[in-house]
Amino acid sequence: MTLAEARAIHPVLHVAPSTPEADQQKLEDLTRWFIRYTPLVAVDGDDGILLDVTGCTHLFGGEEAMLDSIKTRLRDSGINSQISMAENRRMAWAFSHYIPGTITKNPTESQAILSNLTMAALQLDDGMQQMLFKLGLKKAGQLFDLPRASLMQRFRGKDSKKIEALITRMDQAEGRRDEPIIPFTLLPEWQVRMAFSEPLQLQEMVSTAIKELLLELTDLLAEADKGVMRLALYGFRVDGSVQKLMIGTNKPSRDQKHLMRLLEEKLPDLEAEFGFDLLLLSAEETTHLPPEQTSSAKAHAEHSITEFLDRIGARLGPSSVRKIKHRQSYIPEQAQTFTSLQTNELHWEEYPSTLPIRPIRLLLRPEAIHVMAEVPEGAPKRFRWRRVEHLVAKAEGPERIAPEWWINSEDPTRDYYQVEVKSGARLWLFRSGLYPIKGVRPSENRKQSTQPQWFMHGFFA
Amino acid sequence: MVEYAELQISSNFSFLRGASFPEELIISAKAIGLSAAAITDRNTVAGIVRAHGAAKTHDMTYIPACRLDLVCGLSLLAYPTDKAAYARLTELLTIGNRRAEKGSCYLYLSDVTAFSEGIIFTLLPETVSGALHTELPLIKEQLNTDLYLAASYSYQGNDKRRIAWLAYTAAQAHVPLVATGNILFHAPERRQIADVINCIREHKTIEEAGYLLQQNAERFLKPAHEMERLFSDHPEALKNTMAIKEACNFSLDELRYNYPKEAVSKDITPQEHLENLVWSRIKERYENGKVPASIKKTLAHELAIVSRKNYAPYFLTVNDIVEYARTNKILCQGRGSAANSLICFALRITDVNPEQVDLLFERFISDARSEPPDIDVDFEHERREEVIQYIYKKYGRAHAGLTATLITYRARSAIREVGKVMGLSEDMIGALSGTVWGSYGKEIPDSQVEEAGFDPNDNRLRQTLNLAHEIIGFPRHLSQHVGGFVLTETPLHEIVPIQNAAMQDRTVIEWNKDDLDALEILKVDVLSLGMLTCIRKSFQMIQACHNKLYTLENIPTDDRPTYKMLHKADTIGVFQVESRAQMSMLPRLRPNVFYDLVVQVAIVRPGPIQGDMVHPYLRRRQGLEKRELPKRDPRFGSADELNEVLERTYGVPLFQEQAMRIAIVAAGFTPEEADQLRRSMASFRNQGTIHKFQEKFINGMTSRGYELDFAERCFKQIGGFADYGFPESHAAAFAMLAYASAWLKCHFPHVFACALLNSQPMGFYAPAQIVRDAREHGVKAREVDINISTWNNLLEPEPDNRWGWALRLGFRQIKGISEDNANTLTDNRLRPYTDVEDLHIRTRLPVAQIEKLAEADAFRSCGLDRRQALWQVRGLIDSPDLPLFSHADTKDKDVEPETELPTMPLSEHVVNDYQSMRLSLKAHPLSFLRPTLEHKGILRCADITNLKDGAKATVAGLVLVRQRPGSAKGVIFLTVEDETGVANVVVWKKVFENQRATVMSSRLLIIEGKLQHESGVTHLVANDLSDASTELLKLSDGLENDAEASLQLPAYRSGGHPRNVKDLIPRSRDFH
Repeated sequence: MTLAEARAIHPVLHVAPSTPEADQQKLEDLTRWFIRYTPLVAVDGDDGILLDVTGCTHLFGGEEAMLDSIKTRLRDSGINSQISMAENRRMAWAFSHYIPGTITKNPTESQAILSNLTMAALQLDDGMQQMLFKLGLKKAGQLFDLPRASLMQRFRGKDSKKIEALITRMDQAEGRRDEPIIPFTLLPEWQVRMAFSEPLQLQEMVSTAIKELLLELTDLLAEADKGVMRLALYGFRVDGSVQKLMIGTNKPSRDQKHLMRLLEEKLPDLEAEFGFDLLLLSAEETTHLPPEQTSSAKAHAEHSITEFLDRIGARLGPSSVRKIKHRQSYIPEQAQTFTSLQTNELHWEEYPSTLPIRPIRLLLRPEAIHVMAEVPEGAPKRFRWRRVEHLVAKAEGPERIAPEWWINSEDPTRDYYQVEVKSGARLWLFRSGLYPIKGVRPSENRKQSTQPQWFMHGFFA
Repeated sequence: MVEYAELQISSNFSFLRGASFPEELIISAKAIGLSAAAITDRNTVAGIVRAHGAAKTHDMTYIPACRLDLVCGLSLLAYPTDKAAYARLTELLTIGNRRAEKGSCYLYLSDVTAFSEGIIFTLLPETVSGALHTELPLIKEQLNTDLYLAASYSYQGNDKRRIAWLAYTAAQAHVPLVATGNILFHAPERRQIADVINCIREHKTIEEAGYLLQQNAERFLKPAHEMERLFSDHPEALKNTMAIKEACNFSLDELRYNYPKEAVSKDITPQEHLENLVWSRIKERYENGKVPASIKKTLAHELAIVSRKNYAPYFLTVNDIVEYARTNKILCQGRGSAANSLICFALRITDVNPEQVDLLFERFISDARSEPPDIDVDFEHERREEVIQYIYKKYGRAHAGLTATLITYRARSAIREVGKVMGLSEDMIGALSGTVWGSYGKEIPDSQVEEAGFDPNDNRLRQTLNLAHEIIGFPRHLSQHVGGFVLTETPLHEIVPIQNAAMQDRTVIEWNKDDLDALEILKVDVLSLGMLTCIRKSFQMIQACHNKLYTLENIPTDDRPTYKMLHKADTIGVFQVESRAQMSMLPRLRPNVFYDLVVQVAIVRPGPIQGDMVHPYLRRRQGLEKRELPKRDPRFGSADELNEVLERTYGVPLFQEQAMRIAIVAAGFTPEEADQLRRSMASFRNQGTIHKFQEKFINGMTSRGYELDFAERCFKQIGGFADYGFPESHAAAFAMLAYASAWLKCHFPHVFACALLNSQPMGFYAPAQIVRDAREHGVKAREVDINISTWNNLLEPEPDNRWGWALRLGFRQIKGISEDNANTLTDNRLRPYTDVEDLHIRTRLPVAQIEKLAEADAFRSCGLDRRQALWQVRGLIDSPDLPLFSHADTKDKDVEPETELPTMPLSEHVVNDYQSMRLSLKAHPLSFLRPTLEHKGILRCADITNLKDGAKATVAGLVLVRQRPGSAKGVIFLTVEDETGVANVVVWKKVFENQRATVMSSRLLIIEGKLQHESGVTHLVANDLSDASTELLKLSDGLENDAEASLQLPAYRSGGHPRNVKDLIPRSRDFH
């Protein structure tokens, strides 16, 4: 159903955009929280959490008590849940979805309960489920009773994968095949660690340790032709808390010196207090970086610029250092924008050769000038800018630039002129607002009294 | 005072480039005093007729021209100086069009050279890729005709320098310089539109478009004095515009249309030939060839007019096409103004006897009116393509072309595309366009924007809506007309360029119907009509089963049982009178003679409804009101001047012709003005002119002594006609088919149902209703079976039945079975198939197709029910068709253990039947729910007709149709069905607003309401509605273990039910 259809049915529908990534993140966060019950937790699909509680239940006073505890805690934090416990994950899934609250302890009991559930409890895909339904196979139990070979024969060809999956499901449901839980942890791509019997408290000692870790890490990266884009340092303190430093680079790097320098910029932020007993250096984001010759002068120059940018970025904050990017706009002051250092596409090649040239420097803001001798639809003869009077020797124009109507600009159309003043300077002036011409255009300025205004906007070389 | 002609204008027929209509440009050019204007659209002359028309009306000098965009990148403006040069230009464009796929035109400079004689060219310097001063002399030499170089002001700062340089280069090459405005719109305000359509063309949002947009709003039409100022350094460039103007004397009025002569021999003129044919054929229409004297007189009169207007070849062509259809046994019938002539009756172009309906030829064609005659011929929808290809073959592609249809922006498409450009989200666009009911929505009012959940004061949204509103009516592209053919004696491409259509084997001209009308070019409409297919199939079956030969001509007229059936509104499947609105009208109008049917067909239309003419007519017909003809104050002249116009309809105007005649007779319009009025109302863009016409119309009538109220109603009615014109001449032809189909249904319901099913898709009702209706009329229907059925539905002997025949459903009723596969099955059926495997081995049908047969429960003759057959089918292997495997055909597989599957309950069979065929002969789904429903006090649909007016009743039914007619002000009409029949439900706006979700989304509805009987029609006016769709789930789960079934419903959504309610029973047909 589309939103429009839904609205036709229920016009006051409250609509919020779907954010599957945020949902998944939330679910992951929640999953992590379950580590309090068991170390083996995993996200299950887009709406479930799977816990392997083998050997943990007694810590919470048995199965029932554990389930109650989970349920209560979830409810207290505003989350509704359906929970079941069984001896393998498929059973647990089926029960939690169809008869929540079920706890089974032995396979025979589970099998009996599952047999009475609908086929959907086996987590089949829709097409398969419909086919089985048409064949009159509606309950999970009916499937267990059928000769496997006959069943296999009914789902050949492109369905064979599905039936394989189904048989696996059945086996899992019957507990015949074991399906391990892949425990949930977020593994970074590359990480190295160093533990200390004596906690490190001094910055110099930390710094020495980092150097060693970096050496180890960059060796690993070099072997794999990788360069680091984001690097994190985790300091595990003896009091059980974790400190974290994060640095980023503009180009992939595995240059120890460079990375060390970046880390050192941040090192003072680290609060050792009672000391770290474990340091962990982790490349959180890496990209391909083949080995390269470092001798070429050009490469070296580029290199040093990037390193410089990384350093001032690390010092001033990455958002304080920016590049200028071209933006397709006729309005001169809007034809460029600032962009982050990482951007390499600056689009300056898009400036069309057919458009007139732009001045080499633009004033930050156009400055009003006082025009003494004015010619309709022409450049001024004489004007005063910053208290200096200029006599126009030569002029060309106008280049007519209308405002960007779609942003509801209230600005009038501008007529730009290139003028050369007696002193030899070439300037870029514009008149804001067009002259009314009888039979062609009425006055563009709503307020008839306001004369067109003149501005100085830039300098040509 | 300097003179200036604007010679470079892109109108909005340079699709998605120009931002003004040709008419707007011409009118503005006139208003600012230009000496002439030429519309130069890109590789097309699609807009020139409109410009020509506007120029004629506003007395403006107009030069037909076009812009040639060549493959090499060069662009030339081309101005033909005379008719021969124009013909060369259109031929040139035809060559370019025919080379390219639809919508493109590939031309090279060498092509232009070959057709350059008599054409003045102007080169656009910015399109020259190399250095202009070297290229210009070369181009001049190659074209070898008058060449100019265009210079226009670009407002990029360097204009003076650039134009001086152009002038210098031109002088060096001895090419004169000509000033142009390079116009994109008639007024600067259109810059926004130009930007938006540019973005639509380039699939960009306005933010992304960057330099594709206009830098300023300067490309608008400028007066001579402004051009003089801009070109003050080059006065000769302005003078040259006038030189080109003087040289171009061609007007589109010179296009002498020449109709194919249709000559049988040299010694006989088309007129003589036509007369011979008519006089000999008319005798066949009357018993023993005795033609009444009055007929002879009228015929002679008609022929005289045809002779004076020189229309004989046109009639001969239509005759020829109809003749072809007749010899090939393709059923056809003509309609339209000229079709209801005695000439056409004699030639058997129509079977409507004009005497019978009292349609006088002269009412449609007369010496005074210049409009060309109009004959549309409907053919069987399945065989029309044969006729089209015959026409191409007979006349050749150089002489025959389909008319174009101009696809323009409508409210919905405008919002959709402008919304995209303005960066609105898909959701938002969907919601906004969803608020437009009907295609010709007006401006979306704020309240609707709010209803859709948006803030109407949001700037971006406001801009979007305004822009969308402005581009409504803008041409988007050309498409092919459904069947309008233009045929010519001399090559067609000398009049108008021809292009390829999207469909294979079709060629289309660049002009549409209105353009052709304006130039008085005749066209023949070759249309398709499903009902003709159905009628032909019926006649064939009657001949085969009952050994009687019927044609449209010899079915008994004035058959009482047929009219009685119509009185009862028993019209499912009957042409034109089967809709719910028609059904509720039939018992009130009670047609008794053929002409009543003509009225019946025309009365349930927006025209008469909006004009509030329906009830007065009915009252007068039922004798409740005096049949008074509108009179005027005798002081103003003859009081009865409208008698002739309105007598047949008791003084109430119902037909388009009547409305037009009122404008002429009573409001004092000239025929041309009346026609303009109709047209201007059809295109809502000209709202300004409508107002003018309204004043003229009402003043005209009141000043001639009519009552204001009557005048206003007449005008309102014309408004209705403009959108959905329904002329009497068409109504008569449709009434003929309505009568024929009603007669078939009345006397041969089994044949009619079978033919109707075999002609699907057509008509208002789905197969389920057609079958159900047939069964209610005593027709025996039988299930699809692999050993009996064919692709088409069949009639098979059934001695116990009243007609001796039963309807056997065909494979075409099964969703997903192809005709080829069905034929393979029947071709190989020399002996019966014994089981699934046998069928598979002998037919080699894909297993997926056999599975569809099993799902349709078509293996009963093998002793297999649906589930057993399905189990067998699922065991088959799709073996490749190789000789190596042919041995595998013999059964040598391992015998697999018998598998005991649960038996399928009947209710589930019914549900499966619906899924596979959208109908079930076994039972109605509701019959299984009846005990529960009865328990709740819910009545059967059939029972409520016996209750008295105003009684309260509750019924339940599957929703068949939902309708929200535009003319009904928010009222919803529902048709629901249970095992006993259908109930018509009316949901008033207020109830609907409260229970919108229930009304819009339910498959099974329970309706509590009040009964309303009116003239034999029963409506249930809903008070309360509830959705019982989930009840349907029980059908497939088996009702016997109800408690268990509910256990199967998932407690949680992601479990899902194997069947969604929405897949269970096919969706209703919804009409807006």
